[in-house]
Amino acid sequence: MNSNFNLTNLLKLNENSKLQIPSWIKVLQSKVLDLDFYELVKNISESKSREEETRIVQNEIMKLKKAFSQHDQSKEKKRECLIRMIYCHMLGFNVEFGHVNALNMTQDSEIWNKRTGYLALSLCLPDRHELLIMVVNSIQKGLGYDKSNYLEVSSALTALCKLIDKETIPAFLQKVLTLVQHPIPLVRKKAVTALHRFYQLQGYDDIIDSQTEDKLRIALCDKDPSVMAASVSVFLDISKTHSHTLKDLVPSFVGILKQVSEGRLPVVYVYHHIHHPWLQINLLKLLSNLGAQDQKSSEHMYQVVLLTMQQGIKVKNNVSFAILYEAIKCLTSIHPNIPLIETAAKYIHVLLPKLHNNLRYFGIKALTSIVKVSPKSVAQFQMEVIECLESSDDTLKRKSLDLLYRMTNQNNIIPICAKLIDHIRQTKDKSLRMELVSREMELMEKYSPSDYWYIDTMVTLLSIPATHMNQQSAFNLIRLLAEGNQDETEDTKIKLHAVDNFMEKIPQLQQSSNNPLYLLPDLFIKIMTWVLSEYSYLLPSQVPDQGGLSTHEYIINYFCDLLEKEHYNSDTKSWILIAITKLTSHLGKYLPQVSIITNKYTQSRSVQCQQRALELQEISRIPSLMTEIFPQDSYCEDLDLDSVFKKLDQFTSTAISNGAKEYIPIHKRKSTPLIDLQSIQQLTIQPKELNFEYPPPPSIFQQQSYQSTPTTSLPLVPISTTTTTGNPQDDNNRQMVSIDQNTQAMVVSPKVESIIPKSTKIAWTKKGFVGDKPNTVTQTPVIPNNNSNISEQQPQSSSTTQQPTTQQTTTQQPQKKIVDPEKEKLAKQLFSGLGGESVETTNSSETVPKKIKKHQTGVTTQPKVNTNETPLNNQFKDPLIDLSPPLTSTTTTTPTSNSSQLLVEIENTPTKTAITSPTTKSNNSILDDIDNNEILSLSFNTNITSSNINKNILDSDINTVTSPIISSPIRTAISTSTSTLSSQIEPGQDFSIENLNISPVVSKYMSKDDDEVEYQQVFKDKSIVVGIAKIISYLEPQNTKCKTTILLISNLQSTSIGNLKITIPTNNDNLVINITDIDSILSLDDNGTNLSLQSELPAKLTISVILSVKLKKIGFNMSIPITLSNVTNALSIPYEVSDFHWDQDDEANDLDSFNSISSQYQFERSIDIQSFHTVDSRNQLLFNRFIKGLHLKIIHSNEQEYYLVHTLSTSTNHYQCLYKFTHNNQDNTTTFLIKSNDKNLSDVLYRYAFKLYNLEQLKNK
Amino acid sequence: MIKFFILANIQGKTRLSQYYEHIPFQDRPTMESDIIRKCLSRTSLQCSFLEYKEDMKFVYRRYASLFFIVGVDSTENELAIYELINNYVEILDATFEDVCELDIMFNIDKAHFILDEMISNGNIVEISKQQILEVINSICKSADGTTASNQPIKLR
Repeated sequence: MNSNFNLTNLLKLNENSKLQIPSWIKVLQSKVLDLDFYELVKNISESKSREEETRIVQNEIMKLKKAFSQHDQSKEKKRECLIRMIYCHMLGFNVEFGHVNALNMTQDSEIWNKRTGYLALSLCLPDRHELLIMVVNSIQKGLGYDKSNYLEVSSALTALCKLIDKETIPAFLQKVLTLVQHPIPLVRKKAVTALHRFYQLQGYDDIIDSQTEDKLRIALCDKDPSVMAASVSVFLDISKTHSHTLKDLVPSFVGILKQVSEGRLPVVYVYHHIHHPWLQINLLKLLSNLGAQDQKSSEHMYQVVLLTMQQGIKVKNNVSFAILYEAIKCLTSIHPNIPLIETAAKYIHVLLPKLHNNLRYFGIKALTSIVKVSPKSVAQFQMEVIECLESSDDTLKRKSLDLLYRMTNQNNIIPICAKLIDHIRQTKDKSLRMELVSREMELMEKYSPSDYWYIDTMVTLLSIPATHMNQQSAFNLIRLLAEGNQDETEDTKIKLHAVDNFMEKIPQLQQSSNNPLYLLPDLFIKIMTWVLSEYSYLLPSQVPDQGGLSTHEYIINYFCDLLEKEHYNSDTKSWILIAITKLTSHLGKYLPQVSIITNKYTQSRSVQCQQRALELQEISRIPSLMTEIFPQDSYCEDLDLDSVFKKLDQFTSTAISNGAKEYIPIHKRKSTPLIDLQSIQQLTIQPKELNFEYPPPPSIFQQQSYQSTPTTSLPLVPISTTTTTGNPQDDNNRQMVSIDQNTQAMVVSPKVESIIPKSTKIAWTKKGFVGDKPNTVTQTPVIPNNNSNISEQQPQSSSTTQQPTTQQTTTQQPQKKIVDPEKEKLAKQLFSGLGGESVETTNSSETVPKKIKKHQTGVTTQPKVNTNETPLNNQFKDPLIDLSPPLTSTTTTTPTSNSSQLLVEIENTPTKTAITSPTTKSNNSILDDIDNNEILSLSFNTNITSSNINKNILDSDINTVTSPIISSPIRTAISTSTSTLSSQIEPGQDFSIENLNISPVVSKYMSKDDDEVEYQQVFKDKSIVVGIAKIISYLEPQNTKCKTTILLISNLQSTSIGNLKITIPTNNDNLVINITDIDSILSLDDNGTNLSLQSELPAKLTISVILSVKLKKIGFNMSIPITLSNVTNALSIPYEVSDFHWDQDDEANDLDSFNSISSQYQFERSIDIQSFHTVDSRNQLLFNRFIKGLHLKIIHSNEQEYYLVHTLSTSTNHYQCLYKFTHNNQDNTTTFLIKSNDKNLSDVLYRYAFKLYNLEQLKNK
Repeated sequence: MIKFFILANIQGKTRLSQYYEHIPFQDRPTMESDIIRKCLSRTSLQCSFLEYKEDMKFVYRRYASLFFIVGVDSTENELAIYELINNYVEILDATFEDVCELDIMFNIDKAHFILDEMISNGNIVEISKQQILEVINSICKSADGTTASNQPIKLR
């Protein structure tokens, strides 16, 4: 070593002193690298630390920069500098300064220098460097075919492979293609490699044309094995994506493989006694790509693959095993030949004994590929696989787990999952753990043998720290528990099992939680708190071994402990707080420890926790409220917002009566000033609060409704005013009404005066009023109450949005006013879980039945519309029973004086005798347990077949219009109709709307014979029965209206109702509501929203209000929230899209246009209906109801399929919906397919269909 | 497909690196040291294959103080690569007569040339020792016709 040092020192000295260098020293110089390089290598190899290395390299870079700036250096020196530069680059330093020197070096005539230049460029040049274009230019110069120096060409080609990019390929393609036929094999090989590179960069379509393919095929037949091997790897790449183009080459590849494995290659290609093993492996890969799913090609291969395997196995070294594995893999990927695979499986015996883990690894890999095709072949290696599983080698273990995962089926799922969990616990590799967890989840979803097992495994999995488990899949557990199966007792068992499972964990968790290293995953805590808070009521009320501590308290204590820990994130903590809230509600008392912890969390930095803690604090103040807010087992139940609103209404009304300003919806605020000004000008007296109210209903709409129903509305307006004017004391009220008249009239006709006289001149009702006068007088105290009552309606609509949802679900549609529980339930089913999107399409049809069932047995969330005595079972009525009885006109009845004056509207109606169907009652008792709102939203279509009589009505109506002075025959009619009703009501007995014949009252508003009326009873208590009748006109064109009569009937005929006040909102997101007509006994205030009863509602009497409702847009849960002031509830009249008339003028009128329109529409919903108990009658019934309910037009039908359509136009939009109804006789399933151009519509109809389906289901039971 | 070929000593220092798949320059040193650390942590009885990141595994083989590490994609046959390393070492051995770490350091250009002959575009293109040696020898001839082997200096 020392001598060398001296020598080079001497050399350097000589250079410096410019002495003549002896030739022997020159030789030495070429042999011994320059001192700089020597020092660099020596320093780097001796450097002990990264810092030292950095210093060395930085120093070196300085030297190199200096060296590159000197131009008089020898080429050897320059090359050496480039090598030093490569070093610097390799150690991670920027060597941009040397790029140009490397480029210059590529132009050197010396091949070594040239090659070093290319090498330096290919290593050091970053992607897409601007110098590349120069490099490309340089390479191109080197690619001349005629160059005698083949080394130069091959160097250029080598550099080309590394340096070319996509854009420069065209410059080379032709040259490279010619070089494929160069006389020197080395060049041919490099040219094929270059083509391979082009293929990698450009892809099949841009590179492989007939010319290149020809060249590649020629190369495949090249007599030089290297060239052939190079072309095989190109074909291998092609076969990955375009195997079909190479099918004709299968015999060639088979032939080549046969020759190679038989040892026909020159001896230089023998590696460890095997002929070109890498070529064999490539060929086997190629064959497996070509033979996949291709029996014909595969049959060519079996023999040669077997031969390769046998040849390989003779040698028993690493390369031969590599070939063996590749052959087995090939056999399993091509069209399977089971006997051959079983033979191959036997060879695995060679690999699996404990020779080296590398071989066992390959054994497991081979088994993994075999298990797909022939699972039984794997069985013989059980023990070996188990050994590998227990190996300490991560890689081997991982492969073995992969094998386990792939061989899982229903029978072995339990042990395999246990094994996987073991490994999840053990492994330290984060990515492996995550992979195992996801696989475990996948297996559990796929093969879970029972729900119990699923719960246990899930809980175990959750409890493992740092699994980074997908939150969504963890929530599957919640979904499983909450939704349950069909079987109620089984569900309870499962729930109990889960609760037990978590309960058992508490003591051990308490112990282990002392250890700060052992953290429970947040997700586990979330799921645990949820399960325990929801279902702990299933447990015995006291915990054993805890000194009589109640279960709830025990759990709460534990949760409080958890909250004390610092390491849970705020999201988890808010879950715990929610759980404590629920448990506190169930327990019914606010424990001191909870109070302490809650107080702490009201100061929490996390807003979420703070919110939860404050909620808990607030709720705990009213213990009676707690069980209502957090009922037991209510996760899948509907949120009953009605009752919440009710309370809020009270709250707001009290607040307003105490002087608070009421809420005005934003959309009302804008237009207020303008119209308000007008009304202020015209008003003489007006209650203050009403200034904020929206003025009369949109007059244009009203006018339209007048036009469309001219017979009904006009005469009624004066009547209502007359009743007020007829009462001299009631100045206030009269003013309000007359102003209302004015504002309406302003639009209808500018002459206010012409209307006002009209309203005052109706003296005839005054006459009729005489008998009732005493009552009218006593009615005055109503007015002071007005303001507070009016306000009730407004806050109610707003309170929906302000209402914090008590559970984790958020209200999906903000436009909901009052949530129809039925639809709410459906929505929950569809988006059940906490955002499980998949449910929508997959589970919905199956989950429906059990949801219904739950709801029936559900504990608390029954909407409390009807809080008193009798369940409203009577309402549920077989739709087939016709309500309208044969008409018998009663000409003479007892005219009760006080009633006849009031019922001006009813007076014209022909009387019909009521038929109460005694059968219905007994039928309905089955359905007692169905909650009210479900029934309320039912719709019955009752045909009223009273053509002749209706004509009479029409006539008499016109009569009324023309001459407001009433003639005596009509007055007789008043009395008769009222008495008809009163004769139907037995004094002192309950009745319901369904048992009454109300047709006389309603039929007046029916304009045409074909109108249908639907009756519903909305409310009933001791004093009043509220019913609605919806009149649906089919024959009026372009009418998306529905007229609704609200009927108020005093119940029991014993008490009078005073101070009745009705608030009808005229503005709704989905609906336009106009009060078309009201009973004379009512008066409408100037806002057009509040109706008040002038006097008491006498016993036996009906009042009716008729509204015309027009569809503004299509939405869910359309309903009018009506407030009746002596009724605590806000009543809601539900609407369905089916209540509106459907325009029958459809574009789709034959099957072809149906299909073409159907393909355009993108909003698609489909429902599969199964398991009807009876075969077709039910489906048929359902189908009929669907058609009838929605008034569908049948376009085409055959035995199994129906094509239906309907169109709906609102003022702004045109919606069309197409239906396909397919019945499958074999498995008795029916599929609805709904397609629409509007998402909302398709959703609405989807729900509608579901509702019908549910009803059918219920009836089936 | 082969993604990279790295030589490193047991101190974890890279002696040669060649990438066949684009990995940004600045990411390379960390990745290399990470991989080398993983290799060092394994015993000779364990598998010479390791899964690393998505669709990447590496095969390593140790000769005295040097690790030869090859990164491949998931389709590659690990044993074949394992033997390819051996083939490379055999060729180096034939070139430098009893190759050692310093040989490679002093002749990094040649080591690269051999690798370039053997692997191209991430594919194995030549495995014949004789063929490769022939090319290398014909390239590395000095101007005066003598074969330039820097071999004489044996530091250890």
